[in-house]
Amino acid sequence: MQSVPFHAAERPLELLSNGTRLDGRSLEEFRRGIFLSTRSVSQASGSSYVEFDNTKVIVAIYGPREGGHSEGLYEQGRLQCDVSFAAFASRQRKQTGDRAKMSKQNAYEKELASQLCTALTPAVQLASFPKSVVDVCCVVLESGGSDLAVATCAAALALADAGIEMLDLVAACSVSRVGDQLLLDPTTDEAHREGGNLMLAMMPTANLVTSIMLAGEHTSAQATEGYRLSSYLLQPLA
Amino acid sequence: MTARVDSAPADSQAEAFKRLYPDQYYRRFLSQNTRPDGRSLTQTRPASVVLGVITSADSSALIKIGNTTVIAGVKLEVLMPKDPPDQGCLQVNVELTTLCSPEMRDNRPTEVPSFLTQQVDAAVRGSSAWQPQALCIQAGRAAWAVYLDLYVLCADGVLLDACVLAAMAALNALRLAPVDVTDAGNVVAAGNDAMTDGTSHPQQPYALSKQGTPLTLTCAVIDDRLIADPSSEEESLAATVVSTTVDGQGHVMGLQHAGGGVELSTAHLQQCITAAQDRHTDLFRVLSSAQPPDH
Repeated sequence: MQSVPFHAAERPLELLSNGTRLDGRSLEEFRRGIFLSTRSVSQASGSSYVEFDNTKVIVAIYGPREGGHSEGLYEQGRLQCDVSFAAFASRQRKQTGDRAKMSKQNAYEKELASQLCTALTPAVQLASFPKSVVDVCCVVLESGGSDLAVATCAAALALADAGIEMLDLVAACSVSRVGDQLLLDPTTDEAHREGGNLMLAMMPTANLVTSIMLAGEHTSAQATEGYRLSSYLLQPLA
Repeated sequence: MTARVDSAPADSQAEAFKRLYPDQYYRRFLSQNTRPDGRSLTQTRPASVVLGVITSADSSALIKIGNTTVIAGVKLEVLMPKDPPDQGCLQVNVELTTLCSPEMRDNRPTEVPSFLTQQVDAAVRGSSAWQPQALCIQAGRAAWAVYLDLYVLCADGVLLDACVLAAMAALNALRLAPVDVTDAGNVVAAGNDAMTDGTSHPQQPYALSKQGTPLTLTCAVIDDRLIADPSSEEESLAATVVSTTVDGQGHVMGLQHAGGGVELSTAHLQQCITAAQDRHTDLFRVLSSAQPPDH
């Protein structure tokens, strides 16, 4: 079946009017519709559902289970993360037929999974489940921007719900550089026009950073400012 | 001095017995004509339907039957219809997410998703409401391609019932936007000016017709007794599982008898059909009362 996407409306060209963003937020403001819940998947050891306006993520934790031999031997426990997107999550439907596009999508999902693992691992007491694996399964139901940051918050919540020993929860957020402005917690329309992006994950109570990722071009001042902004503003979020 | 083992509280004893001897545990309930979750043998679990949960989809529905959760989303694309030239097309895909049950996390491929895909597809296409001509934008030039994707988010039995319900909910909520075909063959959102192609298309978003919504009820047979709407535990203990799809007129549209070399008696079969017709009334009420959100 050869079909092309149909979009009723184009992406907006201008992201700011009079210093406010399209959804009425200021530059340094999180999305307002934040919803967190746990126990969303009855079959799992722990689970959570998190919504930041249009970004909707569900996470389930299974395990700890015995680590298979094929995965190698580890003294400590391990997290195994898996991220996937629903076909209808984005503006353009996820490809299922085209092999080249599919492998590109899979690579993206794998990359997010490894970044999620990096952000979570420092907070988890791996020694509490030696030689075992905890599975973190994450499905992005709707990709409304800052997906990885929202997934990180959701996964930390689900780990806590599963009773996995942790040093602290993990909270994360993204900052997009659009032109010479820094936008906190960008939506997909904003991220579409970004020149660079910074994602910070941290343990808010311990005030320790678990992961920081910067992509794209920033001046050093912008990078530091983005870092300051995200770490400072993450505190109330957590 | 002999060590004295404190007797475990009754709760954890029952839990241990359940883990060690799941079939005996279950049969003790069955002999009392009840089930571990307190339902009677023919009692179904409550169902709920929420529409419009995903804004990036053209229509969507989140449904629950007991703990079983399925999310359905429709994405519309445009294609050039070839054969026949006046029909759009539908592609159904069911996926079990890695998070839906403990069995799925090994990433072992199973036949369950393709079985569900095929059954849901058959239910949608088999219904009298399915008219591929309604998806035509302009014969020979453009038609809608409807991609219906279903994701099982929590698997606690009756996956087929949940998938069919989710598919129906999402398709009923689908509204096709009025569009124009430009001279170059591109499809654009319709303006308020007169149609360029001279045909009369509705100017308001329009729904697909929805008479005869097919809906499914799964029953399990354990110890020669029929159990309606089984949970995943009950399904794993069952000798056989029967899924009956009926439409609004009570006509049987599909019957799936899976598993085991167990013979299904005519009496049971009749009971399945009657139960499915009753369940259709319930589910249809839930489906009709679900309101699409205002965008």
